[in-house]
Amino acid sequence: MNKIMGILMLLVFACIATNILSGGSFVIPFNLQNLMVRTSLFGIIGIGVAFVIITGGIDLSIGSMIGLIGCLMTITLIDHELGIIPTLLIVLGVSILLGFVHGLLITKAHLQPFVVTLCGLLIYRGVARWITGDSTGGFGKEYNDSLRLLATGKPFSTAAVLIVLGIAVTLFCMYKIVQMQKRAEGKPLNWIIGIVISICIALSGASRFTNVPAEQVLQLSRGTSVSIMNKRDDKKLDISKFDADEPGRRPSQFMPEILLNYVGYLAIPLGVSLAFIFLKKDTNAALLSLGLLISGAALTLWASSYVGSLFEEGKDIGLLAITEVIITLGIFIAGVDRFLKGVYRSLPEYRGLLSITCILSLCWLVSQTPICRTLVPAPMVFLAAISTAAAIFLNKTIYGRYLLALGNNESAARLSGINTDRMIILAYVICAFCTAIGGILFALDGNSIQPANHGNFYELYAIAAAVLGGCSLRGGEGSIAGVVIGAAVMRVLYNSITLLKIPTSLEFAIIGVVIMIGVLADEFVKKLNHAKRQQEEVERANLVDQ
Amino acid sequence: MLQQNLILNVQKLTKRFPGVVALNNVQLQLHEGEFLSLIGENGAGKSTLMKILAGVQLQDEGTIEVFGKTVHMDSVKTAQHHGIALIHQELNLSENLSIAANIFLGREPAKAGFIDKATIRCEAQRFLDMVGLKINPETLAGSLSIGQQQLVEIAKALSIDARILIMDEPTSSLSAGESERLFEVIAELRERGVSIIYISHRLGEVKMLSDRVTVFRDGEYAGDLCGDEITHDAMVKQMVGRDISQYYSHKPNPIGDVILEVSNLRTQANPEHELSFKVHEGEIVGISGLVGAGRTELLDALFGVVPAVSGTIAVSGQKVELHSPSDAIALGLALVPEDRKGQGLVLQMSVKENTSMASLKAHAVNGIFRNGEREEQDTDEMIARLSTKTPNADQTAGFLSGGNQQKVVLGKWLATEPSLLLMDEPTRGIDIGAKQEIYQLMEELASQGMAVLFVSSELEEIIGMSDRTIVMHEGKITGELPREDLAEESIMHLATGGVQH
Repeated sequence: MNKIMGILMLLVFACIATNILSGGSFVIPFNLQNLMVRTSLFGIIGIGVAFVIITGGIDLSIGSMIGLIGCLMTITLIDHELGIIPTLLIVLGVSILLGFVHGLLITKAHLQPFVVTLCGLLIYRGVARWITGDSTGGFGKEYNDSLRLLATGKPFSTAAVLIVLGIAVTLFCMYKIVQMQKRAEGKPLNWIIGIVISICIALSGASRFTNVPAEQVLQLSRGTSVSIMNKRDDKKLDISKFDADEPGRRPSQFMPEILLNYVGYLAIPLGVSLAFIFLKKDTNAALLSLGLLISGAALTLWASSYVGSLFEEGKDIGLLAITEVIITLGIFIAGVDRFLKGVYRSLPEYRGLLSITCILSLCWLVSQTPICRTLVPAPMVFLAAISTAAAIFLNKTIYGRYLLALGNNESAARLSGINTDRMIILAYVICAFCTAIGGILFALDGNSIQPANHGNFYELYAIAAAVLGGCSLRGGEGSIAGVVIGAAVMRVLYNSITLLKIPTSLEFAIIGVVIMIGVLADEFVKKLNHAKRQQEEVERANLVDQ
Repeated sequence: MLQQNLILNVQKLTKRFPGVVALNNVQLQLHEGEFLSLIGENGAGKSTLMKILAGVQLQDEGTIEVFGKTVHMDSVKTAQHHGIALIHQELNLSENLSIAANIFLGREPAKAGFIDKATIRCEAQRFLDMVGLKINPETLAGSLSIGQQQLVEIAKALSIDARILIMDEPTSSLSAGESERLFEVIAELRERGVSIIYISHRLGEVKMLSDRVTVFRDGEYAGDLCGDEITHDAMVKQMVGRDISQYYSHKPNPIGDVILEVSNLRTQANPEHELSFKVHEGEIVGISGLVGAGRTELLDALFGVVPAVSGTIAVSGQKVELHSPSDAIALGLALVPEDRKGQGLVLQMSVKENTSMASLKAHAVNGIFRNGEREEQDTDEMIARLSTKTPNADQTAGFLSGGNQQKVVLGKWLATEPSLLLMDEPTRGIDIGAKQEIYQLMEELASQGMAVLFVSSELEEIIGMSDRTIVMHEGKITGELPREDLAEESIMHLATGGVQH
């Protein structure tokens, strides 16, 4: 949990810093959509490799397999015109077979995963170049409105997601209240507040589909901190020229942000009261976190206005500005982190209130970005489905527990009656399946497949996402949420390199350094915590002994 | 008692770890040529003191005098310089290096910057001769048996010209024969004037070997025993601070139907011998023998870990095929393995996750989903039933003491409700209190009709606990002894290849 919190903070930090330094071009809908597509694709292959890493193995063949999948698809679909369904079946079948073979070689022939998949990396790349004659392929325009929609389609808007999410959470809270009344225990207050908030969120989402005139929207937005006019895009987004009758250009598309902003304001009184309770209970920790929080926030505001002024004067942002923003924002994020952890630890009875405040703050944060105006790209749906299934598999099924156990201690797992060979093969098959889904989407998304390059290094991005997300290469440790967030961090970093006009030749170096810092920080925090935890363990053990 | 020169004098030594005082104001004296045993329950601070003496850790307070000089024991090098060598309980040989390379690891004699292999080889041979190990020094250390590795460790200690040799549970993984060999080597060392500090849980050995015994209890010095005072009861009394009148309290139960019948079984390790025996409900059967007698291999074959080559195994009268542990579990078998940390537990996972591991499948909802409630119930039940000392069910298993870890392993198997419990060295390396609880548990399970088949290298345990004992030697069963014929002599006679009268 701690690890996921850390990587989440890193993601928030990277997003805000990129946005400030790029003068707001990070949050324009086009960029966000692209980012979501990329995050989804890399998240999917990251989830796959996470399963293999949890067993203590590694899969280096993912990139080559993606290349092979792309080439196979052009051949079956374009050269042989086998149709969409047979193509997908062939690609999935071949990938799963390859994963199965990896698993067999590792468990039955006792080869090391590194070696097996390294050979895979070389073999699949060679085969991909051979079967295509090393010529670039694609799907042309023929499939733009059918198959390629899987990768390029944007089935619904974020606002629709808000509606669905709001309704789902409302139903969940109601179910909890009913359960509580049956058992006649606990206070349902938190769940009732949860219902109210989720209804508000659902309504904010729904407001996008109303026909509110432009004047009213402008009037409503006055009391908010939402800047409807995006600096970069102000010509396109001149709301007074919006036509209520033209779908997709309705003024009401700004409504979710405005309403969410009002909902988010509720976080202020709740947060302040929490801060007071925290101050009373644990003064030192509270002072430290609040000090960091307030000074960080003030400094960040100052730094962002400074960067903003640079943009207005048309100057380039220099290294100084970048450093300023990174440091001040770092202080702010550290304060948020301290505050959350401090309240969570020292005020266990206020955890419900804390999570409600967090959700409200998140509403406010979302309202600051035009994310409600963006559409959800189709790969995001794949990511949501695969990550949910993977998380359930890992955390709720016996096989997930088996994987974690054998990753930690294979012989103990085997002696407990777990068929470890079968589980390891399963992990490689899952990895190959995720690679296949990712590979299909990558091929469709790019529509230009160079056999020698398509998918190069993708295995390393996937492994980096998994490691950033808390998987240990020693095996036995890992979480799906962490991997998805890890993939997002990687893509935001990549995105920031483009947006900040940093020479792309530095791209690998920067990503490498950031991952190194992340892992080092994790190791450092672990060491700090270790001594403390050990002491607690010993004390607790002593208590038990007495 | 020889009043010779005091060569090691530890006074008022205190060592604190976060949250616990490992050693509180303890003392220890060692004379030249003396064999001193240090005993105490697990957690009494024996190993901590030894680590301090060997320079692995530094004390917080107190003094260490070696040959009359106060020494600041800040590193292993310092300790070695003063002639102190420690042989760890878990042997520290690099398996991929040769014996000779291991002996000179870290201080290889060099010629012009290159390792002088000839000298190493020749010197290593000399030290191996001293400990009576007739093996080529170029052999890889990993291919040696544990007893031989132990002797290599001693050769290593000799090579640094150790005057004080500290041995932490040297016989815990040795067979009786190997232990004998070790004792001979120790006797030779004493003739050379080497003093020994010997840590062991095996009180029989301690009684036989020691000139003097120092007892620690809960990190404090509890007293010394000399000469005739060294008796089993006196030592136990000092260690636990109370009398243990009945250490083994086995009462045979009425024997039920045959639950396991093994006939003409050939294991992969010893395919030249056929093994046949029976185990009945409510019976506790011991398997005795030296290390390498094929006892663990037999249990592995019975549990499907390493399937047998040929022969038949019948459980409750039905012939069965055992290809994997899951087959065996489905038939109601359970195996508490010898290597608790390596095979019994997943140390990084919680008590709950470990307890439920073998029974997850049986309780799964729809065959796939974990039954979280059942898991918690089972764990709480096992913690209560075995009186496992753990703060809660979510405690990481690796943080528990050896005895409590073993209870978690037992809990895992009891949760599968087995009818035959196989145990391999069930009490190795755990303290007296926990040992007794495990004996009581075996007793209780047998009285409920479960059959227990256990392997042990401790003769006391075999004699104390089993209704019947199967004795093995070099892969074959050399005899079966009923309870009334159990004695150290009769068991050792068979274990060393003698013929049953």
